[in-house]
Amino acid sequence: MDLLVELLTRYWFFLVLALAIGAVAGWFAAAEKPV
Amino acid sequence: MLSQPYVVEMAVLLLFAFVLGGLVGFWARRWFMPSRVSEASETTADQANAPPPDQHVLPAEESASGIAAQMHESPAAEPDAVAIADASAAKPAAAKPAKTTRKPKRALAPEGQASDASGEAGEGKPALLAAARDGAPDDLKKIKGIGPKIEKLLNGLGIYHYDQIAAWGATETAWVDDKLSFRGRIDREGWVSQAKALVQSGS
Repeated sequence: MDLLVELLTRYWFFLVLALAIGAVAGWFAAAEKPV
Repeated sequence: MLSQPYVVEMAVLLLFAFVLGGLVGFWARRWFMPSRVSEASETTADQANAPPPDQHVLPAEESASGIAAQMHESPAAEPDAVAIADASAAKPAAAKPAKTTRKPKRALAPEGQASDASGEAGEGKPALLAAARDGAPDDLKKIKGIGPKIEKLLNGLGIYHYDQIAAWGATETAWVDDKLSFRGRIDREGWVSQAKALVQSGS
């Protein structure tokens, strides 16, 4: 648990960045495509 | 403090964050923009099996039933059922009574198309054609949201021209929407207004 807190504290920016990139990817993955 | 050994843990965390973000984004779009999202998953899955897009006129049976099989799995059995019924016609009629009396559910199969053309009591049913006028169907793919497969489905229903779509009102739109299980996609993508524009532009 200490390790997790340490990682989150130190690298929170990258985690948020990964979350945002994933959200954008998921957003476009949910798009309706013509077939 | 942190050092090299935690690279794996960090990678796992990043992956987890990415996947979590993906789920959030996916469901956010579904939640906030339900009008733009419907059968994305099935359509993308079906695209892998899509036939070549350059066939405008249906050769009839295989196209309609094949597409129906891909888009909606249930009608796939119907042409087969008819074939089975035909093949077993020489056998005693009691062999497969359920199959022989089975009625097509959708108008995607040729039998369904014929029954629709002959005037099945469908409320709001638009004007359907048995074949394209002058044998030259319009390129329905010019309507945003219609791809090769949906074009074939529409052709299977008897819709070949922009003016047919442009003439749709709310009930006709609902009829086609229900027929193809589009769950409101026609309205969302504005097929009718697009078709009107195409008719006016004369393309």
